[in-house]
Amino acid sequence: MFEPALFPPERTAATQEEAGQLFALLGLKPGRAIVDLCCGPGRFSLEFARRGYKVTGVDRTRSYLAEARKAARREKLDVEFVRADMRRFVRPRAFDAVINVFTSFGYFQKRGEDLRVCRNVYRSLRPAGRFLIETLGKEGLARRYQARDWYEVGDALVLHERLPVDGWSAFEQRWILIRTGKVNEFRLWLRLYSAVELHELLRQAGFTKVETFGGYDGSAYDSEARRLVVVGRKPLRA
Amino acid sequence: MRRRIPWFEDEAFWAAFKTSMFGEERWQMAARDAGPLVKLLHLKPGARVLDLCCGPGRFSIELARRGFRVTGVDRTALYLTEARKRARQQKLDVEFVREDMRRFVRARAFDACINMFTSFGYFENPADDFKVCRHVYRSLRPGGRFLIQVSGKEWLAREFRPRDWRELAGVFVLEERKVAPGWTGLENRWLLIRKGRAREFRFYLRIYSAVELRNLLRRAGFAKVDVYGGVDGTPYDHTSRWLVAVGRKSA
Repeated sequence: MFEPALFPPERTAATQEEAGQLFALLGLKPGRAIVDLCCGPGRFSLEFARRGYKVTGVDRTRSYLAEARKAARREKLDVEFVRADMRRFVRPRAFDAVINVFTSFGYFQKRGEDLRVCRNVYRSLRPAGRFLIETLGKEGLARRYQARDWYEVGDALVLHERLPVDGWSAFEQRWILIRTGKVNEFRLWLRLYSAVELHELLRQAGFTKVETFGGYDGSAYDSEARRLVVVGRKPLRA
Repeated sequence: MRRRIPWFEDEAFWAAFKTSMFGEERWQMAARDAGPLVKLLHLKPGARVLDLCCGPGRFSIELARRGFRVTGVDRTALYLTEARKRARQQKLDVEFVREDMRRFVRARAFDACINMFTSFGYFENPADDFKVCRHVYRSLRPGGRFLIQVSGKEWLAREFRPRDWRELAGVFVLEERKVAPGWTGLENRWLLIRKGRAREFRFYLRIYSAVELRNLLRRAGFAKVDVYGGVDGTPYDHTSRWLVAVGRKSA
């Protein structure tokens, strides 16, 4: 339902530039095997495949995967799409990198489940493999905090409301979509991570070297950063 | 070459900002906060309280006035002198100890420990913050509580301004701050301008989110840790000025 709002055409254009920066940040050469964890309609998966990487896109949303597969066929791109819950997807030592982008992390009510996802990723990586998470960090969310905002997408109106709960450990959110006289309301819960908290989670999952950035461009995560990018590295001997 | 002392050991820093940090309204604030503080800590009459980084004794003296047996600890001699003077004037029996919070331990001596007004996160090495929490844990009796009040990372992010300034009785206080990479702390530069003359101080402050502070206290051994948006026990959310964490040692 929220697809046009979440994935407008401008975002696809931005994806190309971001993908270039992302590979520079990960130091990943074409031909490497990469997982796009929570790939959605395949925005990054397809761009990676175009650049010559071996891509596995994982998502649990059927309609997004159908669209991703269709787009791959249209472009004659060889991408593997797997329908799976990120809490269960594991393929030991199969990949050189795993990425989880666009705030696709922190959906589960128990922190232990987020940790489990990170442990799955750790197991799925080859030695020296990297795990990149891109999300909206707690600090950036606090810095730009607005209880409510709204915007228009085509003929639809999208309304957001958010409230920090349990000592800023999560947002309780309402997303309302209004289109052609119909109102659909959804309630979402999102665990928020500060850079230090996400760093700690990856360390706990086994990643030894963990770095924090303010974007795919490798800038610092500071008062000007709009995003939080954390990269964990699996040790060589693991 | 003489090793530069850390900023928090510099008596000149605390002397310079004494008036702007501990003006009359700050003393009134302490008097106002003491009641809710006692409630949040479940202090029984006559309970023993450790005021860690007591400064000139805002809370030590107010709690002593209310009949608690207070030990105030600070490393700044100037502040302790003032605290002792105030206690004498009011004929209050308060113990003031000059000691570094990284070294002060008195096993099972206190029912509660308070650390107020962002007196936490000063040390370059994060392990020192942990050490302080361990010492407090040891200094508490079973069932004792440790309360930390700081400007939380979330509030600091929400209200972040690279620069601002205040004017206090003809003295200008200029503050400049930069976020350290990863939002782990703030690099501060304070200018104090008196009679047109500027003195500059620089210091680093490690900052904690509610979750980070809760984790630190848990790691130090506190069985139960609650976070609040103030000593009044309100939730810590987008309206909170303060982050208050209360850790309880198992009974």
